[in-house]
Amino acid sequence: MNVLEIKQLTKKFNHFIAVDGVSFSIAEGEIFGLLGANGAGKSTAIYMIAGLLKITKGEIKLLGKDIKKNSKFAKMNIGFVPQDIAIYEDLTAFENVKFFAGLYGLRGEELNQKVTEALAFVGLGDKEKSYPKRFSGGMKRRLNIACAIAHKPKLIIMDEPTVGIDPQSRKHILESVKKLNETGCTIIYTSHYMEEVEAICTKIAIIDHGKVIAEGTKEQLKTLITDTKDIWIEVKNSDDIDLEELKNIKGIRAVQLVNHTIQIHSDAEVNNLNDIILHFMKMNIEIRSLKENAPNLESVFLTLTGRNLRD
Amino acid sequence: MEKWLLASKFALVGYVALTLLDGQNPSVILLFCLLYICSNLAINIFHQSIFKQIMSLVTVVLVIVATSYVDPVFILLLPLNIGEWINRWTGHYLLPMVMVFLPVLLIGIELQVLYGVIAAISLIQVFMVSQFSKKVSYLEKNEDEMRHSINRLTKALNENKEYNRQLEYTIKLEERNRVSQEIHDQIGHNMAGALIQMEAAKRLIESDQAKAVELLQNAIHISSDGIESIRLTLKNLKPKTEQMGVHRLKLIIDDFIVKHGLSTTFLYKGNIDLITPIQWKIIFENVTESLTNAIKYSDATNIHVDIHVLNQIIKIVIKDNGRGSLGYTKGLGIAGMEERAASVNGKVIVDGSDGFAVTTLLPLAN
Repeated sequence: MNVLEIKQLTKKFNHFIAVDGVSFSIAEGEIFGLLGANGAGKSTAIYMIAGLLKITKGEIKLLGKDIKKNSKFAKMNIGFVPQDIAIYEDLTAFENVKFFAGLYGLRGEELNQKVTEALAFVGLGDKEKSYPKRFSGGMKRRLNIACAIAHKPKLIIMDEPTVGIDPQSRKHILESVKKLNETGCTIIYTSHYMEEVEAICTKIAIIDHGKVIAEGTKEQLKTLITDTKDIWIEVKNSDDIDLEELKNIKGIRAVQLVNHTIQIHSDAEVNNLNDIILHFMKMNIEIRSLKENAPNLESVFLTLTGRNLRD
Repeated sequence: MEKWLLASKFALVGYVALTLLDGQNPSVILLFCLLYICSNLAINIFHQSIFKQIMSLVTVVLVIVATSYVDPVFILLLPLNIGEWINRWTGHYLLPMVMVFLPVLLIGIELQVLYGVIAAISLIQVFMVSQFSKKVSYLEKNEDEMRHSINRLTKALNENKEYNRQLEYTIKLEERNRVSQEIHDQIGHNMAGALIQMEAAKRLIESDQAKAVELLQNAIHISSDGIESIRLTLKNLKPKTEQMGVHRLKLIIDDFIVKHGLSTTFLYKGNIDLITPIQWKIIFENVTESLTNAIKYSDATNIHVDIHVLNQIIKIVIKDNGRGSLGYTKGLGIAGMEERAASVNGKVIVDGSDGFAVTTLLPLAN
């Protein structure tokens, strides 16, 4: 069952085409990462999914229903964590969450209970009565998330939820994203931090100039670019190394010795680092340094779009 | 359409002459009528608009003089001329309307109704004529432009035909050269060698049979080598797709450099053999389109074409160092590139932020 299905989604601002015929679908239980440089069209696409921006052309279906025709249904089932923190500094943390959850029609005892749950979930259970004025950036971010999840939406959209916060809060947020996912939420996650996306997303789409140029799991994206990796091992004494025997280790395609460095060219898919190190240990060869040059999301992004994520 | 106006003027002056000629001073009236006809003809004879305007003004003055000194009936001639003059002068409709109806206040009561009717008819005529002449000049301009573009396209087509003809000829020549060279270098020598051996064997066949057999055996070896090299030469006549692709792209780029004098560099990376003929076709067309766009819009001094064959994807980038464009409109060219790429599940990304770059991503066939 697809939670979200997007077909030929297009947004034009006068002549400027911000989103150009984007199509993808997100299955239930996915953490879907959207990668794109500034101005690539990520936020525009997200705003259209969240119903905050009119669609120029195309179709968005949430749980099989067109969000244009079922806007109330869509709003009840989407939780949106915006990039710019949207909380009231003059209300307590509890009142903030209560206000936003109340907008979704929750009332009375149920409302209070869900607000408490949401605050506890983001780790602000003991700060119910505090005012966000005194919160750190990370705590504000977490409160921002609590506001979006109290009404238990099926789909949560997080637009750069880790911008400008301390490492501890970031860790907490990433963990809560995973926890939310485990409770059955489907999540759309955008970030400038490639390593976050690589760590938590089960599926990733790369957007550039309003178009999805690649989509898939991180392994699939990496194989688009290359299916090999290079491992460089510098040793103290390279005289009695048997290169031929190294080649027998699974996945290794070629080996050569340059000065005191053994350069190994291997299949990227095979994890053979242990076997290689073990081989050196058995031969009693002292390893000085080891460098693995495997494809990562950063290099995939750079190769496909010709630019860095953070320009 | 000006003839239409002229006819109306003559009808009017005829009417005026008929009503006045049996009164006093017929010669003066006739003089003014003839002067009026002359000046109106003059308007049509001149071609430059400044003279046309001057003559229109002269006619208006003439009519006013006739009205004030000879007979007030002459005022009936005024609306058509005043309307024509002001419309020609300003292009407006409101101003002539006001000016034409203004004299109603100055003339005697007995003429007012007649003047009003004539003024209205005259105005309608003037407006119609001005509309029609505007349309005609617009159509003429349009036709002119179309004729120009037909000329240009015919010229381009002819040049193209000529270029294709020359290209075909050059390629044929090159190919013939290559084949004859190969035949000369390999097969020619082999056959000559075999022939000598066989001649020798023929002489020896009586005296030394064993030697002759040996020589014949040699000749057989050489001949079979020769057949092998004929086979190879023929096989090589069929070029590899990879050669066709890269070489043709180089040809396209070289031709572009010669025609437009714009420095263009080309690089490729990865296993080019994996690109299929249909993908090459898309690459040729997208590169050509992008180069043409660069010439038309970019003011660039350098263009770089880059083909990178990755593990499962081919990336083709055409980037210039021109002025770029952030608010470009997606025309037929870019839409065409997108369609071609989409036909093999590819994507086209256009980036006008730093120069103008068109990136085509095509998935490799498995």
